[in-house]
Amino acid sequence: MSVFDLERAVAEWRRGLRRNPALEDGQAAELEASLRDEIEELVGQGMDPEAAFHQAVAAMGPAADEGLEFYKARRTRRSIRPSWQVPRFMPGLAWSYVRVAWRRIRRERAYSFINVAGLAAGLACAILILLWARHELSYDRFHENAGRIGRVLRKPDNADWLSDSGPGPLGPALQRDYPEVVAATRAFGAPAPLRFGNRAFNGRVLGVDPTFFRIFSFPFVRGGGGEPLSDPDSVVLGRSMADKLFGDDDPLGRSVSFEWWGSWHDLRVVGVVADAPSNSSLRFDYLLPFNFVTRSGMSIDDWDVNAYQTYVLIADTASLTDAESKVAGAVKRARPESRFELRLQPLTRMRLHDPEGGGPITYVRIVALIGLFILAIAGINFMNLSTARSLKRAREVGLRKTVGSSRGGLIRQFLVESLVFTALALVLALSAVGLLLPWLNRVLGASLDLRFSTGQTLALLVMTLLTGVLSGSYPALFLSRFEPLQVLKGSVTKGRSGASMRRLLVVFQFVISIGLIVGTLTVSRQLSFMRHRDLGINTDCVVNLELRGDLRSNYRAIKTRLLESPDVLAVSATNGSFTKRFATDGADWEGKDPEAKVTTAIHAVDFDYAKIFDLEMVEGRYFSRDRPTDATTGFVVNETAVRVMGLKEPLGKKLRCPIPYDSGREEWGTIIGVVKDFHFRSLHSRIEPLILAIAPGWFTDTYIRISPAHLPRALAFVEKTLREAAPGFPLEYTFLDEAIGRLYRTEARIGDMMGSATALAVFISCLGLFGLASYTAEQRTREIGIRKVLGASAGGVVSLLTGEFIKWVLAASLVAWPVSYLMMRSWLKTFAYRVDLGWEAFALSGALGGAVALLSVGFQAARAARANPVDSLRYE
Amino acid sequence: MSSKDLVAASAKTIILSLLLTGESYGYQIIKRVRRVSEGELEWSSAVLYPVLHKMEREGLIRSEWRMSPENRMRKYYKLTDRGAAELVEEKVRWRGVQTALRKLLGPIPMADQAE
Repeated sequence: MSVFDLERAVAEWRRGLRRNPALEDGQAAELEASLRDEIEELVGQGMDPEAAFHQAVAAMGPAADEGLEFYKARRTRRSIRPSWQVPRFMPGLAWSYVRVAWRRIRRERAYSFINVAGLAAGLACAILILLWARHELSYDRFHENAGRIGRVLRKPDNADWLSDSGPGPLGPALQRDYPEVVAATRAFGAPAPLRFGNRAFNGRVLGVDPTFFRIFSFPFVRGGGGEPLSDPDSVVLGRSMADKLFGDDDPLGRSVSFEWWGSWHDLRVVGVVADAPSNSSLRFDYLLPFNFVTRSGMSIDDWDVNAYQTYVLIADTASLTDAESKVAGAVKRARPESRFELRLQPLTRMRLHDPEGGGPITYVRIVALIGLFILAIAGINFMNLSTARSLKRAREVGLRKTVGSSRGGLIRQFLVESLVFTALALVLALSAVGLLLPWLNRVLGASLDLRFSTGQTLALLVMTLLTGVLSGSYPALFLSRFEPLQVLKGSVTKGRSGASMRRLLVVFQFVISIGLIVGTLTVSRQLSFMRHRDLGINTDCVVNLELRGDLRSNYRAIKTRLLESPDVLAVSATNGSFTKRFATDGADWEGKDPEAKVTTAIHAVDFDYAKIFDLEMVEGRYFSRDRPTDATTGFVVNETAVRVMGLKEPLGKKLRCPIPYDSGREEWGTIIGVVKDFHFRSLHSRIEPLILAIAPGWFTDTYIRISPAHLPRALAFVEKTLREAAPGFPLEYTFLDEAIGRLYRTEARIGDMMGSATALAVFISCLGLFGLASYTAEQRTREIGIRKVLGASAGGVVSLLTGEFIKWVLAASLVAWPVSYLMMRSWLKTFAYRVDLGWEAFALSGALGGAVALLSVGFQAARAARANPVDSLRYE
Repeated sequence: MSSKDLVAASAKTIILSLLLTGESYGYQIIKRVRRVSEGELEWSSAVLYPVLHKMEREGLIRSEWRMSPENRMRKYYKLTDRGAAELVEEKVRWRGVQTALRKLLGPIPMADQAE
């Protein structure tokens, strides 16, 4: 046992103090004097010198702290950092961080490629989605007065649906009677061809009041002086239409003609406006004075004809909400018996928000969420690969620490590295976006571009920076913790540390991927369900053609001519029952409850309608040419109508249904038959009550069924016949099943987007898994060698390596399934007719996830398992 | 206010007051503070010496190394005229604080009184 030497202990303590750079010699001496005083006193109280020494030293507190306190007392400025501490920022080092990062990229090409490519794919996807969302959200905001424009909606008192069509006198009344309404315009849009000389083009006409140009910002390129469109025979052309008709000539003052319900009307061009941008809800090729609709007999003075849109501009002193409460009773003011009140929908919400709530905004949100998910997956990949590779860098960290790197410095180094990767990925992503944009524009029918405002550039940079920092933070914090002594001795646990974190992240990736797979499968199943559902009618090989101009006036002759060919099976005309919607709440019938409000759809049909669509009658009969009264008093209703109207024995019951346009019908008629329910609208909505009536005056479309056996020949014949009957007329026909398919365009787009997003998500996950698996295999080379020497088969080794990954996928499935189940269930609820959420989608998603994992891991595992153990064990 | 801030705020006044009665050295000052405060204030050398050095730089006190009666080198601190003047001002300031605190805090109930 050594005797305690106080002098030696104090000397040792003093040396410790001297090492502290903050203390000057004098200060150290003073502290020593103080220490000795204390020891002396403690010894004087009877303590033994050793205990007294330790107590006195402890009472002084840690030397480093003391040093800092002394330094603080000495320094002249608060912010100065002691010279012996590593500065917080060294500009020289910052550049060195970038250089080191670049060297790493060059040295580990495959790894860097996987890392950067994955990140770039995620970023590209996020940027594309950002662009698309920006486009969607920018709809109708380009109008100078966008915030003060409202669309007038009608709401029935005791129901919660809203309609954007209103009566003709409403617009002028609003502008006249309400000071909050600065200007109001009515609008009625329809397709109608426009002709100049021998050039004719189909186009979309929009009939508007002169106030239109005050409310909306569609600037004039030519003309536009005075009050455009106040002359009933004037027209304002959209720029593209003007270019098509006149080329480089000046269209002002020229005479053009447009076709409306069978006849051509001459118009004088008074102006040309810029085309409506792609983010405009109002689309038109040319503008006419609103009263052009009267040329086809439509009434614009009748408060009961609800056919027109009305837009209002609110005074800048009023808000839309205020104005709404003011104008709510405008219809009742003019028509006290009306059951409708008015609402104002802000123009800027027209595109994405359905008046009743919901609407495409849901899809924008879903897609944005998917974009975030993909970015997250890519970020996770980056984290995983970086930490997995950390072993290779342990020595580097050890060395850096030994030569004086602080932990903070190392964290900064790794973050800069991750930012260099991210920046590289951003450049790649932007080029990819540039290449993909034309394709996306085609798919979405939009015109997105890569021009960013300052704010958006900033947002993009922040997004990239955040991705870089977030995905680099875990490796940075993890790697910088290595103890130099252990690392350099070679005793750092071989990449095992951080394994659980990696596992968690991989599971998270697969949760997202599997969830997306379930979503995509469900969406595509619902889509195919809607496309292939038995609509109750036969729409195969039915050509749909709008009846206009000479086609309309010569319809009978054309029909006879068409039917001469054996390839044409049937020809029928209607009021566009499948793609257009006409409904009335003015139907009346025998025994009707006077309080009942029933809205019924009306199909104007001809005698061949049942034949062309293979309609099935459940009671009574279809219209027949042999009974002349069928055309004047006969009605056929569907099963839903019978149920909703509460008719016990429908046949022979009296029914009244307002039929516009003169078709020689009597006011009251008789139900002669009940047709089996069939779908004539999108499957979003339930089958409505429907009344069929013979009404030739209302025909807008013809349907031609041709023989599927000789499709090309039949089509050629139809085309030739129509051209002969209506020469020089734009001929545009569609197949009815395609037209019906277009009703699900939004869903189809979402399906496409989700499909691509899912493919991308799965691909990125694979990339990460592939990298991780190759790393694991490499890590366990020696283990595998030993196992093989001891008799393990290649198959056994493969299953050992892949088994782990499969477990993760399983765990991920268990998390992803309930979440995606809930989300998809609520999405399916938006359809009146929908598929069940079967177990198949879930099983398939799990299997797909597993298969994908197996594929990316299996390759590496097989390579590791096949390797000769001699090679892996020799170098020890 | 943490106790560290409290020490920092009051240390100057306490040291000036102690040195008014004559010169002293670090260890003695720590002991005196402990005694005067009846053990409530326990300064460590890490607290005291930086304050002393700062006050010396401000010219409130002055120091000199001398041999102690026990034959050891010791640094003694002495009040300067400026320090004495500063003490007068400090006293006025602290009186104000003292008056306010006395009125605000009131008598602290003792544990045995509460029973």
